[in-house]
Amino acid sequence: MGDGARVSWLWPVLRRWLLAVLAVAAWAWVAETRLLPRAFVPSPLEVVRGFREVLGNGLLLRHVQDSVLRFATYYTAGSAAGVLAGVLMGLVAPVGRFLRPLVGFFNAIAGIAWLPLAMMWFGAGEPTVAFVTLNGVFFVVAVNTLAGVQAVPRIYEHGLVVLGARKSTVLRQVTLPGAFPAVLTGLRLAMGFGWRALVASEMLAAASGLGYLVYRGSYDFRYDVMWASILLLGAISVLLDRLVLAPVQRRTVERWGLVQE
Amino acid sequence: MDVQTGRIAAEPAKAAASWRRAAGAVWYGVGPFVALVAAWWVAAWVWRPGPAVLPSPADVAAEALRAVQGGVLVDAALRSMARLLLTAAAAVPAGVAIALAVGTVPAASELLMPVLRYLTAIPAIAWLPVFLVALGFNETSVVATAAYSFFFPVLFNTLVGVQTVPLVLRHAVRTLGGSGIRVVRDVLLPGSLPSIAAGVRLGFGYGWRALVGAEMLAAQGGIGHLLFKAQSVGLVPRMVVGMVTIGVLAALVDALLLEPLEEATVRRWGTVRG
Repeated sequence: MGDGARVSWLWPVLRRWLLAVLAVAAWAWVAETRLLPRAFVPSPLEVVRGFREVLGNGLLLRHVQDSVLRFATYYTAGSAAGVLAGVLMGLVAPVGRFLRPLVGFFNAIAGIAWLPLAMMWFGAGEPTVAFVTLNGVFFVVAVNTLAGVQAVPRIYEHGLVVLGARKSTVLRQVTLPGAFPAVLTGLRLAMGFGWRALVASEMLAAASGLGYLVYRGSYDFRYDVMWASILLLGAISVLLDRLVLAPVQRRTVERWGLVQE
Repeated sequence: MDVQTGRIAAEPAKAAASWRRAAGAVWYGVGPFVALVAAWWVAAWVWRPGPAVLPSPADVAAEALRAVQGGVLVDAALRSMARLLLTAAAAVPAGVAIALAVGTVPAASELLMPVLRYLTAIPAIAWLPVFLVALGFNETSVVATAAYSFFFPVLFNTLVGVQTVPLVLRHAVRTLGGSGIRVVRDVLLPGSLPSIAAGVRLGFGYGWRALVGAEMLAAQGGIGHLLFKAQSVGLVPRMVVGMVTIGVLAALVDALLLEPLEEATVRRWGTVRG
């Protein structure tokens, strides 16, 4: 292994992060020139200092923990319920056809539109955040699962039945694998919609979490805290996608050859 | 088999089939919503939690009538739709343009993609406080928030479209003496239209939610603001009217505009085989 190998490994990494580095540099420059109010655009260093300050007293960590725990809980529960509901509705064809417009309609208003009503029902607090996030996740998973089950050609199912398969075998061998790419689409969309619903409801109805911290930071003119929270929101979301969804997709859809490219 | 009898027998069968289709369309189109309202009515009537918790459909209908007659609802819906139009006008061209740049210039792709992937992961609503300070407490901030949400699905879908246009087609145009602009205009844009349409449809889903959220927090007028105002005075029937309006508007835009657009591009530019 000579120098060439090391450089060829380094260069793509460097190029990948070049713009990020440039962006931080530009940010520092904007902060330095004071084109925008200094309090509003603190320098990267100040944001890091703000970061450390809230990190130092354990505040930031608690908010990150709250957001991540909430999302993990509600996303898991909402998507499990969504898949189950979608499959059950899809199994009985007329029922699925009948309910699909309703699921679609509720999907169209899922998430933040429920926030005011949830505040009336539960007050500001955890139940409201739970309700808004859960329904932001549930309906998009349900509608996609249902569509996936409905799109499996009946002839495959009939084929297995003719060969003497039991209903459970048909479900396991044909219906579920056939619907899986659509389910995965639903899960992926739910990650985006659910995360957004969570952040929005944290901003308006919670007393903890990164969404709350963004809102609170801007309210208290602690823009360093606000910026730190915004940057963390993106980082966490990228990590969730990389660590959870991408491996699932690699291990299932691509391996089963269900993606055509 | 006799052709004549076949035809005679087919006529009533065809009429019966078309009648059954129409009945089916009504049953599956209107039926679910009738059933929903009926179930809601029964729940409100049996449970009787009062209109402050669960208003009956009659309460909501009366409130809807009041809101329409007072012009509040129509005004809010029109304002939201106008904002949505502005949002789309900003987000769609920007998304397509950047996707074309990223898709055709490898250096741009390597530079921009990590940053774009990171930015799309930040919920637009979290940017709202930033926009409010930077752009002011005004329309621009609200539309910017919605446009931020709308932009990324358009961008990423268009990019997929651009990247899946066979390279041979690009080279063919270049070989025949076509300029880079012609490649974009005659190959890449038409080739990625189905993806662009799909991106616009998805972007609308995100943008509409972000718009409603931003209106709740910062706007004057609009459906989100109507919801928020109703909540601040505890007017639950009006909130339900607002939510139904959000759903109906989303369904209308999707069914009348976005779905036909996607279908048309898919059929015209043939990603559907057979």
